[in-house]
Amino acid sequence: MPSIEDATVSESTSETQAAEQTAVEVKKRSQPQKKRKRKFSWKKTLIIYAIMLPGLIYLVINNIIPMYGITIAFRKPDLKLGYLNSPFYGFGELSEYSFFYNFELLFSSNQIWTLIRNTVLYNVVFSILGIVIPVTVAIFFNVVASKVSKKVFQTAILLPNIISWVIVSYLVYAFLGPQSGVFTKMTGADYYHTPAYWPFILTFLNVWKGVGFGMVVYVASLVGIDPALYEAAKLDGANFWQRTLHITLPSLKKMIITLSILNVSKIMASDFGLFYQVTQNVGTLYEVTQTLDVYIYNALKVTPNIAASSAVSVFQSLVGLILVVTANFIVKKVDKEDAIF
Amino acid sequence: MKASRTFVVCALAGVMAFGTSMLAGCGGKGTNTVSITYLYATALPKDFQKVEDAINEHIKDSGIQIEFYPTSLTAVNQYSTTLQSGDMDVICMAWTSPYELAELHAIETLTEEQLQEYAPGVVELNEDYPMYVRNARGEIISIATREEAVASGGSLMIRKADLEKCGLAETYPDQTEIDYDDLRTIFAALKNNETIKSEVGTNYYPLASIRDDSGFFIARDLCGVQDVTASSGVLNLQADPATTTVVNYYETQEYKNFVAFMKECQEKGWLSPEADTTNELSTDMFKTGKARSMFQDCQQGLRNAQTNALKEEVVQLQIIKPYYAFDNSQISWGVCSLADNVGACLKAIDLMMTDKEVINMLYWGLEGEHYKFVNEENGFIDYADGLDINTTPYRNGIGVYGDKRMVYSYVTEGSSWEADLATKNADIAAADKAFAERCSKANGFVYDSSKMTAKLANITNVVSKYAKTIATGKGSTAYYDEFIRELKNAGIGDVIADKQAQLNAWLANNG
Repeated sequence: MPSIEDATVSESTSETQAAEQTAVEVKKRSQPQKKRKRKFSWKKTLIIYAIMLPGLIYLVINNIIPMYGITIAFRKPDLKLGYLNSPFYGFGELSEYSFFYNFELLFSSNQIWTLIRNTVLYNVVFSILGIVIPVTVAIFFNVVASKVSKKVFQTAILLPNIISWVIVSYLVYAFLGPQSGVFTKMTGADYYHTPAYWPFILTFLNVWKGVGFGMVVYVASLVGIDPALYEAAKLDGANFWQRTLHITLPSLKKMIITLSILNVSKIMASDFGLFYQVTQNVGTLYEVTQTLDVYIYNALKVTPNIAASSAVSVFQSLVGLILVVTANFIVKKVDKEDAIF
Repeated sequence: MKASRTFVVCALAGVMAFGTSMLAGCGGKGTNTVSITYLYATALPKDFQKVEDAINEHIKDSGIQIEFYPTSLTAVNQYSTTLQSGDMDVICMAWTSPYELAELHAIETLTEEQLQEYAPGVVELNEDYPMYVRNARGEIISIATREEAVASGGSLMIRKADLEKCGLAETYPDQTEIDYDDLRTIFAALKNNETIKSEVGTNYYPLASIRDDSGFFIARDLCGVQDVTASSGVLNLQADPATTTVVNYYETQEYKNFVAFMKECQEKGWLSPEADTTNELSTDMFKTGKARSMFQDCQQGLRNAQTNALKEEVVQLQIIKPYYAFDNSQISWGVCSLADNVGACLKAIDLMMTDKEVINMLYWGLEGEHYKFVNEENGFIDYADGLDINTTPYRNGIGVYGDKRMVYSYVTEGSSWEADLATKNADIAAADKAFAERCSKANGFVYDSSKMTAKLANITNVVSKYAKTIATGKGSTAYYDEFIRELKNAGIGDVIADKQAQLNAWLANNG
């Protein structure tokens, strides 16, 4: 018969065993579970690939194959041979030219720094405001309770997004035209001959046109936030500002970072419609309105040199690529979860 | 049994051959079908297909078929994409450079032998008019449209009724030679005329805006210089018709005088303050009455075209004498390098240049349906019954097709064919006189700008930045000085030197 001591020992042993078992279970749970071997099913796999196929084909045709076209930037175009068989500068009969001959068009311009300054600065401002304003509007939109009000507001704010820049240019002219513009008559300012106004006008227009679409993207993310979090925060006495700061913004963080990194890729590109159509291509405004794309259009409209414009695209894409990789690298260093690749 | 097996095999082979040939024909055109640029201004004419069918019916014995490739006039500088697709066989290069396209090998270099074999009509036309457009190496790259009168100058178009209201109709009859002082008199009278004010209000300008990014075309006509752009320097023919010195157009005294006058126009309210920013065409402003006159070159036929468009008599006053700075590359036709059958393409060009029926169908449509003859012998027509300029389902007034001497003319509104014929003959005689008296020594010279591409692009950009504002009288003296400085920084001096060297070499061989 076991003694009390024995019983105590056995009790303590069983407690220890239970604790050990729990620890093992916790350890097991914390460790990645061994994948159960699933039976490979051709049927299921093929269906998944079939769903992916149209997108994959589109990606290959539209994005991968044309990458070879980058070489046009280094060739002397010969339509008879085709762009992809045209001779390269710097080789053979074109050995007297530099390999980067097509890039000279851009880099020999005495306006190059003004062009890069305008392109980059506008993009930086557009990117910052393109996040701050749509996020703010989305947060306020999310608290509107009335469905009718939501629909009306959503339509009103999305409308500018579907208006083309050509139409916008006429609207702007109606307000700011040198003679008949509504604001010109009110203020007496000569907007189309005063460059100082245009950084503000172009920024305003970009935000006005893009805020609706940006808002929709963020509203879609906000919808996915668990309402229980807000209710719990309310019970704890958090006000609207605190809920926004501690629940909404952290939930949008990943989306904001992703869109920011994507915006960085377009740092050297510009919206041709905004900078060419809206400004009416007025020469007196070039100092603050001419970007790389507009310059290339103006420089090449008298010559059909597709290789020179291709060279500019390569330059823009290359800078974009480097910046995206760098931005993603920095984000990865700070928080792996937020990086997009 | 054996016979039936053979039959089955033969039948199968036949079906396969038929299927293959059918498939081969799918999506493409036969080698004798030639796709030709069909340029239109604002909208494709409603009866476009009907006219194409009628032309094919007319040329059915020629062994070729024509298929029009509609192209908007605003898209002519986007040809490189179209040409790469190989969809177009014969290309119209209107106000776009054939030299650049030839350098890209987008258009075929043609030989005299090919032209003699397939386009004998063009060869014949070339005997008394330079139909062949040649590159700097002397190779034939395209075929020019045969102009009716080749010399032109700058002019002011104005309603005759307005001159009468101002009491100036007798002082300034049609074709009077005028100068800047005359323009001052006319504009001041138009601005202060009470009758015009009572009719259209005060919201009008004596002169229409200049919608031209480079501010060059009008200024060129008013200053009289050779070349289609000023970026590579020009010959100042107005100062000296015999000159062979390439100069910076924007530094010439003629250009400075023009700019000073346009500034005066701005200061005195003769020209809209929106002249450099508006998208409105000067022809539209003139037509609607918002502007009472406009600058235009004085090529034969333009005055009558304006009279018909306005439906009231327009007078043309010559600002500079017509001069002859020949540039047959402004409107020309080339064979695309990806065309399947060069011979068929040349045949199509030949028909378009020499067949009166084809030419007039392209311009005015079908007789009886779209137009009727007023005087067939001299080629004067009117709209078919029940139609007018606004309701006709076919009319293509862009002057890009064929030998323009064969093109019928609509009788001018309120005029008669006899009066129109007299005007036309007088215009042609004036142009011929200019051809004899004021003919540039550089006619036939082509500048090879291939080594100056980057500099020319920079110059073009500087011109885009400054010239329009300056040419509409909006720029200050400091702004003009900055423009000239920027042109020099962009390398216009090097380009002019390069062009001068090439011209000197050309003159040594051809002068």
